Amino acid sequence: MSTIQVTNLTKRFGDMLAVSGVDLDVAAGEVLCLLGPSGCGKTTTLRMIAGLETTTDGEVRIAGKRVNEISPSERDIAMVFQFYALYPSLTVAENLGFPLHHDKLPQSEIDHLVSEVARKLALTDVLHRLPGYLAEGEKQRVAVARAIIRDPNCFLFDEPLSRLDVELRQTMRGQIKEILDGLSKATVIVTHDQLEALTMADRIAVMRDGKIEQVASPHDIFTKPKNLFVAGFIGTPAMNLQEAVLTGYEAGMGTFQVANQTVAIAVNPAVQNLASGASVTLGIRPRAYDIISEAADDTFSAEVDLIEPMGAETLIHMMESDTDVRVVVDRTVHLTQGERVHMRCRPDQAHVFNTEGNRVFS
Amino acid sequence: MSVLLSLFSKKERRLREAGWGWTLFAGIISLIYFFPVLWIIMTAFKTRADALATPPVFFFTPTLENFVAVFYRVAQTGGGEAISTGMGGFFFNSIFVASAGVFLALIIGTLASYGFSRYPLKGNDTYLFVVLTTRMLPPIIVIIPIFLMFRMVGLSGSYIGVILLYAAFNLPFSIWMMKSFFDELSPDVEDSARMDGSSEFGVFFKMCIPQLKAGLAATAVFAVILTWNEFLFALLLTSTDTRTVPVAMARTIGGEIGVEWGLLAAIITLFLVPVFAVTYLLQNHLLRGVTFGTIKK
Repeated sequence: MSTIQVTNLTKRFGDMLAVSGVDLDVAAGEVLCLLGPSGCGKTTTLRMIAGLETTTDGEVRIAGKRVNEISPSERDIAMVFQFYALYPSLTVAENLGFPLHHDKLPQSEIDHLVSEVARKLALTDVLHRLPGYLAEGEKQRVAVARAIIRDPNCFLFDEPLSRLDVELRQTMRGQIKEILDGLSKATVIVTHDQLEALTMADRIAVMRDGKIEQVASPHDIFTKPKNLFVAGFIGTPAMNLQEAVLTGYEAGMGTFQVANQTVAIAVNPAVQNLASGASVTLGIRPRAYDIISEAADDTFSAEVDLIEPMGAETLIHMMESDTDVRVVVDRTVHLTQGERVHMRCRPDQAHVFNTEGNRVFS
Repeated sequence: MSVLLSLFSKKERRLREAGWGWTLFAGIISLIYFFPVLWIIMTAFKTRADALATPPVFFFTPTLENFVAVFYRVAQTGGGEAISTGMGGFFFNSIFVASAGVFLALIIGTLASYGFSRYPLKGNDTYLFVVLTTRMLPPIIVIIPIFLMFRMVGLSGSYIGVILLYAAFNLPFSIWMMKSFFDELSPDVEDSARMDGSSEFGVFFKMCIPQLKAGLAATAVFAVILTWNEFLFALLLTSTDTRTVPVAMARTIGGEIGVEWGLLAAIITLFLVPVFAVTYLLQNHLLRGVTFGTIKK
């Protein structure tokens, strides 16, 4: 079985703790995305799985076998590097055939596999070229083709799409997803681009400062962020996180003191366990608000500060008592700067975080 | 006049082949630089009278007598038959010693710089600095101890002695230069090769070395030029059998009839041929080598 198991993986560079106690379990056929801001240890984690970096502590198991002491070449992993790492002095065909030489395949077999993978990734016309003469998208395809040609145990991708322009990135994203779907291998993709993670992953592991903050499906990561960091990191525009004081709870409705206003919001029943008067952080996504014409108990009012049209939608920045609230509305909604508006949070869209920054839920 | 005008006319400039004006201008500058070499080559083909003529002559009937004199001289005693000057042997010595020394320095230097670049030690820069300090002393300071040590261990006057010395002499430069080339290479390519099943030797020889052809060529050319022209060590550490051309050349100055300019110029002309050849053969690599990394890929 092609699986990756990582337990308590730790890496220390001198005094710096780059990766701290990471546990991951990637099933065969599953795509796991390691997502996090730069410097969070995601690439180091990937390199430890690959064997390119030694582990300070913890264990890496591939296909059930401990591989900590095994060299990268013996781990039977294929990796796609951020800058493709094509072999500059070899032609595309030689690049593709390179991983096969280790398996001591006969040349006819190598040629056959090369032409097959080249057809799959539309590289047949450039097989004789050197990597220096390829377009960016072609380089990326060669890198992917070289990874899949060998039928390895599992795949590792390090920021696979970061060098491509927007349009190419979209096509490549689909293409990679399609290829991975057909292979049923454990795959780990490192990315700092949440859109990439949300679209390609079966599960996302959000990392910060060498630790895993949450591992969940793209849907759950978005709808049930475990803590403030995940809540703020996932989603564009970012979730509104407002300091608030819980003043009461009754029948699924919490009453909060937010920016000098009292607002009743539908929240998770676990909120009733919090003491009245507790400081919390309210997390509401910009798309979870509806603009309402009249004030009510469950509305929050603010003044329009800045209007950013985004095409299909419009992003409105509002100010109230020095807090910035971002709301995304349909492009047909017209507001003017300085206008006072009332907005209501849709049911089940508000998250409450306690003083430790963890989401309160049951 | 039109040449001058075209020099300063602002039309038709940039990204086009230079006009005749600039070409001529560049040609004149090059000629000024190249003139000493050209003069030496011309002198090599002159008779003694032409070589010493005042004012100097630019047009003369070329003769090969100087080149013959490089290799053969007329015996002072006996029937006046031609005797070999041994210069052929000295040329062989120069070529052999320089290529062996540079080759050795390149091998050791490339391996060392790979280590410095990819597996840095604690205080890596200190070691690199220490390596370089060996070249900071003027050779004249170290020549006496080296001379004595070579005498003691019996390396004095042998090929192996000079070759080792030249290898050591070129090593700091090779290490520093090759290290900068290795630093420019993406380690990802090496990691990728490792993951694709390459051994460490495979990574070095199949991935790094092919990418560094230009760098190796550039380093080799500089080292060859440096070694080829080296005089001081060769003077003290070679014997009559292993003498190199610069030393032999010095001995021809101050014959009984004053400096034989024609002969000297002929030796120099011949002496230039191998360096010219090496540089010419490697010039494409050389250009890429010295500009390596100055333009971002």
